[in-house]
Amino acid sequence: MAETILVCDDDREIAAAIDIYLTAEGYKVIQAYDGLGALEALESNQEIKLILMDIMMPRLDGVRATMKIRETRNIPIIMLSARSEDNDKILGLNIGADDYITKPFNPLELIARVRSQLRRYSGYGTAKSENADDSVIVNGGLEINDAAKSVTVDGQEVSLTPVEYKIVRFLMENRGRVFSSAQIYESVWNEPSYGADNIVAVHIRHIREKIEINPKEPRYIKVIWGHGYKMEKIED
Amino acid sequence: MKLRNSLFAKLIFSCLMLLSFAAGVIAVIAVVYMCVDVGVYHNNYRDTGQYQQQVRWDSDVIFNYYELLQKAETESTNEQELEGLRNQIFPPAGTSLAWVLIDSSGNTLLTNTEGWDDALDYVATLTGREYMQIRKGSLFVLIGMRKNLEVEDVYSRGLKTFNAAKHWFLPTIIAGSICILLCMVLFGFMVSAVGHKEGVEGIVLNAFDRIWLEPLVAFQFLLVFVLLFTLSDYSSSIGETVTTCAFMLISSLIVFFSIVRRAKAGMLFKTTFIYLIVRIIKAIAFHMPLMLRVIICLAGYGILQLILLIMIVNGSFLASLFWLISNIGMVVLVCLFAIQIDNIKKAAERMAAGQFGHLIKRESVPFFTGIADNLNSTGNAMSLSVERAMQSERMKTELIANVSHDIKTPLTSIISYVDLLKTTDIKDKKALEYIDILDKKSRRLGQLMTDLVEASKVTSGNISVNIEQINLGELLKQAGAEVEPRLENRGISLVCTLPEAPVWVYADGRHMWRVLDNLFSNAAKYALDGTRVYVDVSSVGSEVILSVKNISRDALNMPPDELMERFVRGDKSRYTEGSGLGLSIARNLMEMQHGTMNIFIDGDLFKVVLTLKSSEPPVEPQE
Repeated sequence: MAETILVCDDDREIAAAIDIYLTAEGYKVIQAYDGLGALEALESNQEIKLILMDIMMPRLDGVRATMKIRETRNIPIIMLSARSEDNDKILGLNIGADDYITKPFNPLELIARVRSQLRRYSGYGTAKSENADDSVIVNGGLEINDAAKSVTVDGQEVSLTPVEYKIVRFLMENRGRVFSSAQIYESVWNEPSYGADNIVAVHIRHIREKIEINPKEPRYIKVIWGHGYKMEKIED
Repeated sequence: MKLRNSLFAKLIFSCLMLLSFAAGVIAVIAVVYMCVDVGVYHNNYRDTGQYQQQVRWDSDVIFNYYELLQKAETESTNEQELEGLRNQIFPPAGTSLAWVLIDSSGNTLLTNTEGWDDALDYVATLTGREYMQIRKGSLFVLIGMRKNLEVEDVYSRGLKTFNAAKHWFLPTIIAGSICILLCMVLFGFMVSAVGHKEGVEGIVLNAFDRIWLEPLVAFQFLLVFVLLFTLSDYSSSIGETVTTCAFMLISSLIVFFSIVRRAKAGMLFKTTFIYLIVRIIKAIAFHMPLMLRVIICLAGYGILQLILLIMIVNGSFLASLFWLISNIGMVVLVCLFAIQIDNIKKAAERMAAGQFGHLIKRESVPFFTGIADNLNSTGNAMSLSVERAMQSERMKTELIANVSHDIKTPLTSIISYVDLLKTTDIKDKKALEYIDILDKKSRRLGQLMTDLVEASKVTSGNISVNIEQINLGELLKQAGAEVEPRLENRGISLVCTLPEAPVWVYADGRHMWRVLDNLFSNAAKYALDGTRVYVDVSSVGSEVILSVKNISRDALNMPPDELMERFVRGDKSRYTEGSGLGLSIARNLMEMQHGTMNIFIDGDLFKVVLTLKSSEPPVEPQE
C-alpha cells in the first residue's frame, strides 16, 4: 500500500527532486508550492499521511501553515529549511513539527526520517499492545525486548553486539539520566573503571551509528559533552 | 501698542501714583487726627475726652476763684479792690458753659446763670440735664455746656470740629483706602512695566542702571538720612517739609525702580562693584598657570594665618575665632576637592571598564565641571562608536545568514540532482568522473556555507554561551571516540595523556566539543599519514592547559597568527577540503569561554595550546 506524502516547497525543482526520491521508495507524492497550496491539498486529499514543509514560502510560510494544520490534524510534519540555526529548529519543533531537516539534505537521511515518522505514526497503537510484557522497554521509536535480546528502531530490528546491547539496556532503564563513561563502564562490565581509555565512548558511537538516522544529530542517545551520555526520554 | 511700553503712560501713571500716595498719606493722617484728637467714635461731643478735659480745667478755675474770693473777703477791707475781684469772679461767665458752685448743704455760692437761688434748676435746664458734678473738698460744682451756644469759644469750636469730623470720617476712610489701593495698583504696574521699551524685546537698561549698585544704594541711604535729620528740628515750614518728603520719595523710587530693572534683566549682580572685582580676579587667574594660582592662594592663606597668629599672640579673641573658622573652612575645602577628585577617578575607572553612558554628573564635581564635560562627551562618543560597531556586526551576521539561505536553496537542487544523476544509466567513465567531482564540490560548498554562518556568529558573539563545570577527561574520551574513524582512515592514532585525578574546568561543553572537533578534523586533514596526534592535559595554578600536537604533512609556510585569520585574510591558497575557518571559529569559541587558544609552529610540528579556567569537582548529588 503506497502512503501519500505532501511535499511543500516553493522551489519547484526541490519539490520535484523529493518527489523522485520518495516515488522511488514507493510512496505516492503530492506537490504544493506554498502554505495555502498545502492547506488546499490537505483539504482535497484525506489520504495524506505525512507532510514535508519548507519554512520560507510566499503567501503562507511553513511555520504558519504548520500551526494552521495542527489546529485540526495530527499527522507527522517534517520541516525543511536552509536555515540551520538552532533557533529555527527549536521554533519549528515548538510549533508542532515532528522533525527538522536542513537543506541541503542527504536523500538517504530524508527517506529514513520519512519512514521513521510514518512507522511511528501508524505502528504506535500495535507497539503499545505488545507492551504488556515486562521485558519490553519502549522509548519513542526505540524498543528493546529483554527476553529476545533484540532492539528495534521504528519497527526495524537492529543487530547489536552483547556489550552494545547491555549499554542500550542500561541507558533505556535509566532514561533521562546522564551517566559518565566511567559509570556506564562500572554498571555494564561490573568492574571498576580505571583507564583513560575511551572504550565506552567508542561503543556508544557504534550504537549511535546503528540506531540513529543521523549519528551527528542523535534522537535517542545524546552526548552531554564533558559529562557523559543519556538516553533522551521521548514522551508520546 | 502695549501700555507698559509707553513712556507717556508710565509718566502719567507715576505722577498719579505719587498723587494718590500723597492723598492716601493725608487721609491716614486725617483719620488718625479724628480718632485720637477729636474722638470721632463717641456719639456725643460731651462724651469726648477733649470736652471733659476742658470742663475739668474750667471747674478748677472756678474753685480757685472761689478760694481767692474767700480769702479776699476775710482779709481785705478795701471795698474797691473786692468789687474789682467780684467783677472778675465770673471769668467763664460769658462762655458756652452753665455752672453753679454749691456747698455741701446745697447753698449756691457762685453761678453764671441768671437766677441765684434756683441756680441748680437753671443749670439743669440750660445744659439740657447734661452737666457734670465735680467735687473739691466740701464744695461741688455742677457744670455743663449750654444747649444754645451764643458765644464763640473753645466749646463751640470743639463742637463744630466734632460735627464736621463726624460728617467726614467715613468718606475720608473710603477715599483714603481708594487712594492707597490705587497707589498700590499703580506701583505694581510700574514694577511690571519698568524697563520695557516700545519696539525692543526684553528689558532695557539705561545709563543710570549701569552705575554700580553698592555706591548708589549707599548714597541714597545717606541722602534720606541727612534729609530726615534736617526735618527733625521742626524749624522747617510745611512747604519745605512737603518738598523734602517728595524729594526723598521720588529719589528713592528712582533708585528702587533701577534695582527692579536690573533684577528683571538678570543684571542685579552683574552691575555690582563686587562683580567687577570678581571678574577682574577671574581674568587675572585665568591668564595665570594653574601652578601659579595654587601658589598665590596658598601664599595668601599662609600670610593670613601668620597675621592671625601674631594677633592671637597679642591676645585678640576675634583673631583666634577667625583663625578657627578659616582653618575649618580650609579643611572643608580640601575635603570637597578630595571627594570630587574621587568622583572623577571613579568615572574614569567606569570608563576604562567599558561603561560609557552617564559617566559623571556635572553637579557632583562643581570644581571640575570642565573635566566632567570632557569625560562625558568622550564616553558618549565611545558608546556611540561601540554601538555602531555592534550594529554593523549584527547586520553582517544577518546578511551572511540571509545570503547563505539564498545560496543554499539552489545548492540543494544542485546536490539533489547530481545525486539523481548518479542513479541514471550513464556508461561514460568520464561523465561519471565529472559527476563525482560535481558531487564533492557541491557538498563542500554546502559545508562552506554552514561554516561561514557559524564563523560570523562566533565572531560577532551572536551565540549563547553556557559556562558550567565539565570534566575535561570525559570530554576528551567522547571527542576522541567521535573523531577516531576519521583519524584511523589516515592511519593516524590519538595519544591522550591526562593527570590521574579528573580534571574539571569551567567551559561550555558543546562549544568545547566544537573546538576539539575542529582541531582533530584539522589533524585528520593536514597531519602526515601514519603519525600520532598527542593530546596533553596539565593543571597550572588556576588554569588547565590542553595541547594538541601533530606533524604536518605539508610545509607550514605561514605564521601561526595567519592560520587563525583565514576568515579575515582569505587570500592564501585553499588546496584541500575544509573551509579554512575551523581555527578561527575555535579561537573565538575559546575566547567566549574565557579561555585562550594559541598556535605554535616548530618546523613541521603543529601545536595548538588551549587554556581554560580550572574548577573544583562539582558536588555530586547523592541519591
